[in-house]
Amino acid sequence: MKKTLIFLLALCILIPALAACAQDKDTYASGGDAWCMGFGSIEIALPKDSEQPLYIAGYHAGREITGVLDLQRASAAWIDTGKGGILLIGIDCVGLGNDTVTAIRNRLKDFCKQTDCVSVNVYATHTHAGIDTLGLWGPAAQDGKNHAFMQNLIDAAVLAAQAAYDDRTEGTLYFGSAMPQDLLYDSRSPHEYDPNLYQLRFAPHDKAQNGIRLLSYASHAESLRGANTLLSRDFPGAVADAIKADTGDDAMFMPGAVGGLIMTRELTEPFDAVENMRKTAEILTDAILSIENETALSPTLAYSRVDMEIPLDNTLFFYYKFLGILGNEVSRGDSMTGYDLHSELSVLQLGEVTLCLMPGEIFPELVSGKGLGKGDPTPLSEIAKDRGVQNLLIVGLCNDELGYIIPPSNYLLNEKAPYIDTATEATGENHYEETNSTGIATAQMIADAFAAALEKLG
Amino acid sequence: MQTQHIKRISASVGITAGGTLAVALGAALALHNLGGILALFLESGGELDFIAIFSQLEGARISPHWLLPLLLFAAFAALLLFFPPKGSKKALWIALYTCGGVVLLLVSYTISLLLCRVNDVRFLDLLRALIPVIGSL
Repeated sequence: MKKTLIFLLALCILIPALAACAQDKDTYASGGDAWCMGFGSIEIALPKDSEQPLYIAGYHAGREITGVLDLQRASAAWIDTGKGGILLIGIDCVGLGNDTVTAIRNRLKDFCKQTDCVSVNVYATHTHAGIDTLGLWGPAAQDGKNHAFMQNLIDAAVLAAQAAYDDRTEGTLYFGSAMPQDLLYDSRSPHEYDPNLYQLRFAPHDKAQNGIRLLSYASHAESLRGANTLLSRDFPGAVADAIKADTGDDAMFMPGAVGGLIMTRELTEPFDAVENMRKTAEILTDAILSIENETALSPTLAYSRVDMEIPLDNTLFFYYKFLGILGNEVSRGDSMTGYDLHSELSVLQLGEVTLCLMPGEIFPELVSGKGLGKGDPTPLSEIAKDRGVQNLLIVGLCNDELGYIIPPSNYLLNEKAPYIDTATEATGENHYEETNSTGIATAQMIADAFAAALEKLG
Repeated sequence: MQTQHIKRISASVGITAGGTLAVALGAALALHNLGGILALFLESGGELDFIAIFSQLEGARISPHWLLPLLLFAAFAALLLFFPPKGSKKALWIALYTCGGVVLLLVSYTISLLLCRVNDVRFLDLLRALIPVIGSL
């Protein structure tokens, strides 16, 4: 009897412990003699005979696509230094909720066990010419997602991940940057943004293999603008195609700190959407190909992840959660709605470069510290510097889309209908971004999570 | 005598379980078919098509609340068990218990409805968040 009890007790302790081991690791570090990377990219097919409409995401609600410029893609990069690997999957879409990321991770569970994949991270390129993947651009308060398309998206992400693993080869990873001239503008004060374009370029030892370029640029992918109803990856896709044509290298675009609201300028007069995208891509491609300040990164890889419960103040997001449009997990909390939203933030160190995998569209001032005011959190660059980080890159809209992450000192809500109508300052400046944010506390939560993720790395 | 006891106990268990099940399932079904219920009173269409909006709940994950109704029905059943209608005022007691039962059914149904979780959000919490917005609009 006693033995049986001890056995049962041991089982009670062991089973949860084993279950925890089977989940994604939340910290990992490895080092080797060389970098090992692979790339895969799969087109996301449009569903055939789907009864649900295909709404275009990013601008106006309830508008369907009328044609296709280029199909959205799921692209994946496998990164390791000889041991456990990290997957970075980039989807050409407006954003992905944590529930979709979880669905992709669940589909890759067996793959991760077989390949010793430590963590799967999925980000959106934030194209505003893609099909609605968040559900926010259907008719008012109705889910705009096409479920067959979402299934195709998940399938494509899984196939791209497998292709990236199969493609892996040893090589050298370089870091460099360039500054495309006069391309960005910020629609909200303070006019603070990072004008640089950063590149992580993988050069395989085997010259017969293609190189891989991870490109980071802090801009909304909306050079086609709001009147467009043609499906497209926007300039991130055009840049990847141009790099492939010019160099043979595969490329993935990663959005940086794009909040508040950083976008590329209009380059045609009168405005021609497709020509504007082509010109934007041309400027960016020229900048990428002009990079000369590359340094080789030492083959050390470290990763950490922090889970967060973000206070959900936004009543509109709360209704969407009730209606099943938003799929994030929620729990009872101390916010205006009484609920917290579950999310996550990760840090990925590739040699001397640190990527902050940010679950939303962070305002650049929260990263650089320029233009911050009283009550704002410590800027991420300062947190990073205090912990010895040399080069910090933001990968926005990664593993979740919490919307805009806004400095509390610049947070203004409409008094009559907070989160539903936009507030306007006495100066006439519009505070649209607040209607697409989870709440005023998010910026501090993000800063705390970033510090905690760096602490975990040691 | 013993058979009488068994009958009363069975009736109490039946009232508790049946009442709880009825109100919990009723509340869940009402929320599940909220779009259809609204269609009885509203016309479809317009910028905010409430029928279409709440019809989305047909695919929702609904967890009915059952604990409070269970306790209320158990208390009512215990009253019936220990203080059964008898004596000269039996008819009055039966009428009182019937009225009490109807009130209990309505109260526990309302409680179950308000505390029902739809996609992890309590219906009561949604109404709480909605009321100030409707007021301001």
